[in-house]
Amino acid sequence: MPVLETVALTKQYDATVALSAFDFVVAPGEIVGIIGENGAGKSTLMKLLAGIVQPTSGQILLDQHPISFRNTKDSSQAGIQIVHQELNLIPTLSVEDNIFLGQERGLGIVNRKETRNLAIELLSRVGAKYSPAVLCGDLSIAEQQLVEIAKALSKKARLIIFDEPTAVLSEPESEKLFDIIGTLHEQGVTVLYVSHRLPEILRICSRIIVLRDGEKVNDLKPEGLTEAELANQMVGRKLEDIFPLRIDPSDQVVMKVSSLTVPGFSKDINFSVRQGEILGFAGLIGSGRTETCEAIFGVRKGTGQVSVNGKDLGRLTLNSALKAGIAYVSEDRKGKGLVVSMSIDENICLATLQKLNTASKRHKTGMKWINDLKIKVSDSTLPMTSLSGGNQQKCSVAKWLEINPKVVILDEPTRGIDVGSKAEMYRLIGTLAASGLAVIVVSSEMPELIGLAHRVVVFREGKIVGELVGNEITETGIMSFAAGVKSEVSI
Amino acid sequence: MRRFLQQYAALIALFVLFVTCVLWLKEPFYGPENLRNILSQNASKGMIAVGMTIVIIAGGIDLSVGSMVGLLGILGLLTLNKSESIPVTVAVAILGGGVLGLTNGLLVSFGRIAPFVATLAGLGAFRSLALAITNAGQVTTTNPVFEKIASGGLPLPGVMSASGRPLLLVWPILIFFGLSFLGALLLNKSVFGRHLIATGSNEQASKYSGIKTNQVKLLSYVILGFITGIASLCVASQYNSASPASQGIYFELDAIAAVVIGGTSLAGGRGKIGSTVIGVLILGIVDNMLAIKNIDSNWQGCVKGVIILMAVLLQRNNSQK
Repeated sequence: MPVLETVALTKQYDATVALSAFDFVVAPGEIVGIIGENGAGKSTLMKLLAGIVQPTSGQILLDQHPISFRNTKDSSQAGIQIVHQELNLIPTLSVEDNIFLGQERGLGIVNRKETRNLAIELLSRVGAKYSPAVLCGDLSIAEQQLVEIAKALSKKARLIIFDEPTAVLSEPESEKLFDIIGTLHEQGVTVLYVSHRLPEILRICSRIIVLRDGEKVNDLKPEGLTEAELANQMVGRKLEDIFPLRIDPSDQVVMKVSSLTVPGFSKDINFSVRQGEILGFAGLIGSGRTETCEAIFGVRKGTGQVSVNGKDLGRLTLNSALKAGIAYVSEDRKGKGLVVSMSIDENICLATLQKLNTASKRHKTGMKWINDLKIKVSDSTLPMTSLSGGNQQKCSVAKWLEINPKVVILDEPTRGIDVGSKAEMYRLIGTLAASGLAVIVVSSEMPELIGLAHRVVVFREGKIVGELVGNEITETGIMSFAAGVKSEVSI
Repeated sequence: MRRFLQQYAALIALFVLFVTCVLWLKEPFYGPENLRNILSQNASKGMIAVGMTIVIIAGGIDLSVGSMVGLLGILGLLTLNKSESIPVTVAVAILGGGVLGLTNGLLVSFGRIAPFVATLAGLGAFRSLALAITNAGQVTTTNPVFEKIASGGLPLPGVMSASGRPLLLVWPILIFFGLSFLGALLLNKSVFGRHLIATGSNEQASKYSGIKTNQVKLLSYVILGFITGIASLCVASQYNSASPASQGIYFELDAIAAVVIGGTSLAGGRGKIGSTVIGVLILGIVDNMLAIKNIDSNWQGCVKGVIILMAVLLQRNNSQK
């Protein structure tokens, strides 16, 4: 008898169909992997199952009874829990208070003894070794994740949804998590495991659902499947096809970075990038890639030498970076990249306002980039908010191209944009390199670096631990450096 | 070590300040009557600071409490003069405070107006109401019982005042300490305390955990409103009158200053009542020190400003730049 079933489950946001007529059946105790690219509908499915959003049409059945969740409380009472990628814990409360937040033991006054005992029991179920009295803010991310799982268990969860749980974990931490998921499975808990890391999906799941552009495209057994087959399923076309042809870079070094140190984030970084080259920065989240780029761009304190075309920048400030022609497109599009409340042309001209000092000049420039980059909008005076993520990203690139850079650093350029826009972004990156710019792409999506880069340097714990060129650039090649199996330097 | 210093910065500062005053100002400072006066002069503000701590931990702020003191004092004394009944007067002031707090809370929670803005409106409106009701005049009382709210209290055994009578620990001081104790109990031991901290720290996560965050925020303002009602009675009793133009002026700033000096984060989600009490005492001792040294009271604001900045700089977490 299935524990969970969905019938033609559909969610529409205005004109966009985020999830379309999704059918699936989950048997008790299964570990079902859900894979798909950004925008494929994974998070929409999760939100529907957790009652965070309500379906446009279709049904969710629990134990074969139709059920509708108005909010997370409903789904939680029904035994469905999500362990979010961004952990939903209160750093200023203790572990035990976090576990029982919203369902405290005791009337009015917290029953400390009962809370403590229950917390100890739950923590031992998830293999946590710390005291329930410590503050959550003092725990590592991996330890906090265990608190989330314990919290889910405390609500008598029968079905736990893991949302990209390993995105924030190191390799050994991930291994431990897989053990815990195995234990949960033995205890009869059903698991939905959402990820785009194919190796772990193949390893721990008993069934794999592939989503693409809001639709279920396949329902597979992991036996005999390879990563490459899964990847192709996910993207829906051969990966090679969505990347531009690589044109050999020239030998001339444009930017050289030596012994760059960003206090607290990275140490002794050395690399150079040539004219027409696409250099990839690989590594896990928190490995110091973004902070290194921010220091080169002068928006974060760092020491070291950066030279562009042989000329040393001196002290690393935003001003010196801009003068030397270094542009940095931030990973945080809405936070650090764009002023979403302003119009498209005002955004595009934000870094060049001294030159583009009238509205008509800005409009002309805006329209030029809309044409050049094929930004899907009729007029550049429309607000930024009228654009989709992919088109917004093009605008933030346009802003920096307008300063006529020699080096362009793109930090997670395809985060949160759909597959079609991704392909366009890749083409744009290829064109930039072909036109003679030195391009650095920071990315956590390995297929992206494999498809785009001439050369990849891998960061781990704030150091460059390896370099891969040409055919060496593979998932296993990158991961063996990123996860610490292999290193060209000592950490 | 650094962490230890940050955690106990306010307490250490209070200790240093106290010892300095004892050594420097001698008898006029550490005489029991003066110490008692420091407490009694700051008790009303202290009560409000305790309530403010709760609101700030829940992620809010209330700029209207000073004006509330003005308005509730007027309402209280008008009631007293009409009814001659202390219980009715007390009920009107405290329940009135609850209603004003409820208004702020509704605007902030369900009305989704930024706390700063919603209570800024109250700051202007409540004082203006008080002025309008009395046509900017004072309301006085000669009720002998009402006077005892601020001047009566429990005698300290064996300690005599200058006039030879036993020194009284006046009611406002006792109420201040009582409310502080209750507030600390609420924050540290109660279910509602967890919800206050959680709401102020991460509202989204709290909602996902099934906490009704709007109700939590609303209730924090109502609690502060009740406390402000009590404080307004203490102030009115102290002067035997209510003056709409002057009573409660800058109470909101002093209360927020005490909270900040104690080390509670204005971002919400973190803070201690005990630290706020320390903040109140630091501000009170500084005022007293200036008074004993006969320093022009016009300089008070400057000194307070410097202390607030020092407190924030000392407690800044250097690792999170």
